[in-house]
Amino acid sequence: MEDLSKIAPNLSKIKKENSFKVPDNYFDDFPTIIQEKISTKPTFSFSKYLFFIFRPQFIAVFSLIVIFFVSYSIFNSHLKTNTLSSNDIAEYIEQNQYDYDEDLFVDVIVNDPNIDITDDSDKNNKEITDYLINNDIDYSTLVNGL
Amino acid sequence: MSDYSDKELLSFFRNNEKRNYAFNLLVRKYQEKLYWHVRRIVINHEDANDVLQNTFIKIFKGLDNFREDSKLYTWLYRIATNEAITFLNKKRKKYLLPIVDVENKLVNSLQSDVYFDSDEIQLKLQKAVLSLPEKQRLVFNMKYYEEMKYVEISDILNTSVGSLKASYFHAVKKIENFIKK
Repeated sequence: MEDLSKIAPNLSKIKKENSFKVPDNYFDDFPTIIQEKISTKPTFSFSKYLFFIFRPQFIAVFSLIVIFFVSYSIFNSHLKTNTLSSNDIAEYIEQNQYDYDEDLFVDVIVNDPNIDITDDSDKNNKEITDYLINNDIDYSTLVNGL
Repeated sequence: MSDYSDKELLSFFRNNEKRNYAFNLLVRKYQEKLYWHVRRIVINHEDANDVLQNTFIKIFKGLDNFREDSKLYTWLYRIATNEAITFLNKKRKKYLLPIVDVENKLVNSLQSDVYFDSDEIQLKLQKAVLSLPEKQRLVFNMKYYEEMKYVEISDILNTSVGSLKASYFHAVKKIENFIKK
């Protein structure tokens, strides 16, 4: 590539000059600008320092919080799907009535501690009987009275 | 301009008391060469100024780790070249531009730059240089304008001398064809 005129005669005829310019005194001022830049110490930020020091811990805690909320929302949505209203239950039973017989309902009612199945009539009968005995009223007196 | 050799400047820099003074001398010694090198890559003066400042800040931060495996001169050029290329790549990504459009932008920037003063043929030559692929443009500028030796360019760009010669040959041919049009 020694002889440029042979491979690029037109290029070799162009005067090699620098057409780019710089502002006045640019190279006189530039070293001062650089000195100022390298002398400027970075400002100390306590919050940035804390974050830098505890960054792994922050990431771990943040991850745990995210996992907790995701798990909680999934669990909650699962619970919601299992909660049915009385109407839903009634409708379901109506549609599937052949799967249930009377004995099944009786078993459920008898075994459910929330349902009081004691018959108040027994209690009333006992009170009536006691009244009749105490007042010496027998069956014939009652019939005659009616 | 500093009369100290690179070795002396490095020695001063490693002495804490003379550190800033030594760096100031180093900036004064190399600022012009590095500026024109960067300017030919990024074209615009403001961009060249930003790149040159970043270059010298990087040099300041890295000079303690400079192990003198290569010449200080080539190490400085390598940093400046990388900074300039990184700058162009950032510009490309920022405006989502393909390479050709970046070169077009550089041509426009050249024409509107108040710090570019040339006749028609010089402007045509610059346009021809800007039409080259990035690597060829770098090699052409370093060989043609900065008159570097292939060995020096090879150290800076980390490319073999043979490959550089081929790149320069192709660059010259393309520029010649561009000028002939």
